[in-house]
Amino acid sequence: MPATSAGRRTRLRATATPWLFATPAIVLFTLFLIIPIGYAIYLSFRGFRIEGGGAFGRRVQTFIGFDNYTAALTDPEYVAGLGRVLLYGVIAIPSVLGLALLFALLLDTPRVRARGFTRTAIFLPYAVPGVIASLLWGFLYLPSTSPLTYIARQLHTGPLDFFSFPALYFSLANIALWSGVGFNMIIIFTSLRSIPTSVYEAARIDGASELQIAWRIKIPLVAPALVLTGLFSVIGTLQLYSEPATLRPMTTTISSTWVPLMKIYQEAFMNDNLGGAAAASVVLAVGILVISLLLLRFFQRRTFGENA
Amino acid sequence: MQHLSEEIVMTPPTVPPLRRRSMVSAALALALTASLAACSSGDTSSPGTASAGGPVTLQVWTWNLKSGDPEAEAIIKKYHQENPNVTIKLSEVGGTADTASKLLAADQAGDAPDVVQLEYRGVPAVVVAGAVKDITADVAGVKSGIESNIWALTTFNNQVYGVPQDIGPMTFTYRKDLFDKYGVKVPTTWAEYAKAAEQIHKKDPDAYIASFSASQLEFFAAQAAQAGAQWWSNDGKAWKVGIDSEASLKTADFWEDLVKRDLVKVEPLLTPEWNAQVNDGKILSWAAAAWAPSVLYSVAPDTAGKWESAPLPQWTPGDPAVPFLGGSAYLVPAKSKHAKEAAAFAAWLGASDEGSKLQLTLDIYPGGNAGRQATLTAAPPKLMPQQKDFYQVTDQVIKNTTIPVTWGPNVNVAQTAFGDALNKAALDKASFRAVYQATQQAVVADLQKSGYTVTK
Amino acid sequence: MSATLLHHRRPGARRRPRLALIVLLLGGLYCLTPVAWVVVAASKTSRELFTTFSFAPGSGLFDNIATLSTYGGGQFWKWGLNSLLYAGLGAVLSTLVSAMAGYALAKFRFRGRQVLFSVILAGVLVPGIVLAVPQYLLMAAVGLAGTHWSVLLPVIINPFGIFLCRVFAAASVPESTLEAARLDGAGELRIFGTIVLPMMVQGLVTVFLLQFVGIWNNFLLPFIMLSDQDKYPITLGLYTFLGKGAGDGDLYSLVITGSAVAVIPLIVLVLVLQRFWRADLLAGGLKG
Repeated sequence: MPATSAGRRTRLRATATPWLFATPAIVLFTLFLIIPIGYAIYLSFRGFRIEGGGAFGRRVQTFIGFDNYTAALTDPEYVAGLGRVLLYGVIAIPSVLGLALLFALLLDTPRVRARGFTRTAIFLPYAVPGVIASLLWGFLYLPSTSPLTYIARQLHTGPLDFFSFPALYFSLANIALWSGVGFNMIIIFTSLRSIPTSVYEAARIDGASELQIAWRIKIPLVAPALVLTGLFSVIGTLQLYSEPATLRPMTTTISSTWVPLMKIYQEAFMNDNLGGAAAASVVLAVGILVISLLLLRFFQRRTFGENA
Repeated sequence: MQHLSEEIVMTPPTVPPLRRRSMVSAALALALTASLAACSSGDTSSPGTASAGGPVTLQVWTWNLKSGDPEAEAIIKKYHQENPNVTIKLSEVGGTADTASKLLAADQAGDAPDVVQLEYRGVPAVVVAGAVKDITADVAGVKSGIESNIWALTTFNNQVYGVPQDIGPMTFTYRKDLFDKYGVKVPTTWAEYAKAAEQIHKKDPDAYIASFSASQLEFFAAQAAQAGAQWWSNDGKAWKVGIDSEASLKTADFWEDLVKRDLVKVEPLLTPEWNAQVNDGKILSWAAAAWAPSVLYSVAPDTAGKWESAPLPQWTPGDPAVPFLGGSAYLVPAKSKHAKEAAAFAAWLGASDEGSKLQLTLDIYPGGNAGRQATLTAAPPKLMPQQKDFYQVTDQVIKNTTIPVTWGPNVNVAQTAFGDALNKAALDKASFRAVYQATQQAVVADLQKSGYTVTK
Repeated sequence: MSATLLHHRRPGARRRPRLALIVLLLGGLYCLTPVAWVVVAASKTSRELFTTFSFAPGSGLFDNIATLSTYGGGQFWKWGLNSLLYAGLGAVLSTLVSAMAGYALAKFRFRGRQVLFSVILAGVLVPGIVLAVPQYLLMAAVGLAGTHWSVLLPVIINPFGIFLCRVFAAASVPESTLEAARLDGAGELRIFGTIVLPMMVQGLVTVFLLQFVGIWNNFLLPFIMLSDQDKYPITLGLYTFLGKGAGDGDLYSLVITGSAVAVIPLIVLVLVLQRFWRADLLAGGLKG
């Protein structure tokens, strides 16, 4: 009997331990994410309607069924916003990830000089808040304050318009590139660093070039990390907000609901329509989830398939 | 004043908080309390007791009284001296839209402040949300401190919801030196304004009489009001929306023409770009309000002495009426625990002789009679130290009829629909009338969706 | 990627990869130039900001800093301290919570592991904009709205941090070490504190840094939660410098100087912590 009870205790300990470690995260996650998400979903079925009649009848929150969802899905601006964000993502994500991977691999090249300096320099913009980053790029884009336009004027080429179509998408993608490349570089670089050197020592001895090592060994090994940073970039892109929102007051080409999150913000904080905002968010979140799962599936098969 | 008894009787029924909502928050509360009980130290602000006469701290959300600013501190200290049981705590939470959204959330959470500052256009939305109190009775004693056309900005259905603090009677602020240089006469009508715009742009192709900022909903509403339209109005029972009324559309045509002929610069206001052009003498005027000089001075201090203010151009020659643009009021949230004291403070600063005079130290244009009277002997704004009659010009504007621009409960819907569409129309050189009509439809549809009656 | 970038045929050669250096330096230049602009712009008076060439230094640096310091009775520095509190304490707690969860997910096989991980990851799908108000109502329900706690508690949970910690724990904590420690009779907490945490240091520094920056730059949560200016973090404080009503000018020069000052602690932090990114701290990962 004592033997079995001790065995049970070990087994209990073995199953309980991970849960104990995860408890703080689970509790906080439940309180600050699950419950608010649940509440947001609840709100997405509610809206304000007038009670009491008259011109100054009071707005009262009531159950309105799927009205908020119909409104979100049939709102041409919301759908157009999704389109814009996808176009932006097609430009921004490959440039951010491509350059981040390039920089990470270059940093990981043996005997490269000024590694600490360049790594820090490239990461530094991450420390600049999105709002400030957009504000400062705004100054660098606007004709009267832009050094680029200044130079263009000196060269007698016309003023550069960074806010017209399609330049606007590149101007926005540039801000994302500037602030995001360092972060992604660090993630990829850290994951490169956690590969034991022994893995490529053999290749080096066999006379493989650094390029070959990078292409054949390093990239496949960091592929999972790449897929996941890519995934987070996709999520971040679909939740694009602060760059266009900060640039909006500076130009006439960005509407107040230019991307889905601006629309959501508008509904939640300007129009006092939390229900509508919640419904639009649920639509967006489901969209992101579907895209993420599809991408994950696609890349998992390719990256992990190749390795196996 | 004579309507006072009627006003009190007509207080609307207060809506009890929704039961289901409170049940949800109670459930949430339970979940949170269980885990947070250990964490919550004595850090939480104690809910003050509303006993009359006892010491009271008023939480005031405002941007014109800035905490730490010596002039603002002097004002609240003065009030504390006169009312030793009332202490004022200032907080700056953002502009009208920010304050309104924070107020609505705070109202739901039962965590409201005691006084909030909002621009006039944001007032109806918080009134219909039931987030602010009817303070008609509280301010009855100071009614004579503010002209009735200014009280109209915060009065709905004969009930007063706020005390006007500052106002923005519209004026025309322009670069006198450049107008003289180009030989342009100061316009007294909008037709002359268009002519002046033409002359300026001809003399200097890089210069414009003004920028055309489509996101300035208020400006276009004021333009329409000056032309005799009312974008929102109500008879107590139903709303009437006049964004597509003929008077309003006439102003749309006017601006469409200027934009199509490239006589105004299509560009938002107060951007680094605009600021640079104001400094450069490429933007020559701003049809705004009495507060415009201090804004212009903050972006282009070097141009001081080159500006002057004149009465706003008119649609009909000789008509003296101008609308208000901007300005703000103090409101008392419905869930304030010290509503009486809050209303008294708002009334003191906005409507009493002492308070409205003190507002001059804040560099704002007071809505109270005594403050306005005091401007007449004040030095002109820093932007135009040479224009000794600046305040006389402004005061004359108010003496001649000012038109209160009326706002409705869904100004934000109009703001979004109008600004985006007008920007697009200005870029594509498309019809402005269509924008006004589309905005009308959006506003009416939103009112109807919410359950309001809308009359033609 | 161009084939010439990493052009090194002879592995034994001691030649330094010059092209790699050039590309990296160009990247660095691209990233540093706008930061340099903020510093230059911070030295400009509001007039110079709109009238002089972008990279021409201005004459108002000390004036700007003086205005910033005295604005609102010196609140700016108080906001800085608040930010340090929120970001510092929040990031430490967040890193610890993430490390524990990440370790559990990486190194234990238990039922529900995959579900738990997926649920936590799904947490990033919902934009924070809609969660802020429900979080505020929750905090208000327990009487914590408006307190330091209301800003501190929600930022401790960081799904991305948990994800990273899981990756790092999987990569840097060998099973054999854990087995050996267990055979020696060490308790699970002790193993975690004395063996696992030190091994994960490089990853934890990354998570800490990312979360610190994230909290420091967070705007919406404190905006909704706080209404007492004395408790504002620096981002929210700077926001109050931007125009309010129609009659309020934007204090651009003050905002830019304030931003430049507010970015300094983050830059210092990056500089200090970057030494931990050296791989030599990683057991078995000696190279370079």
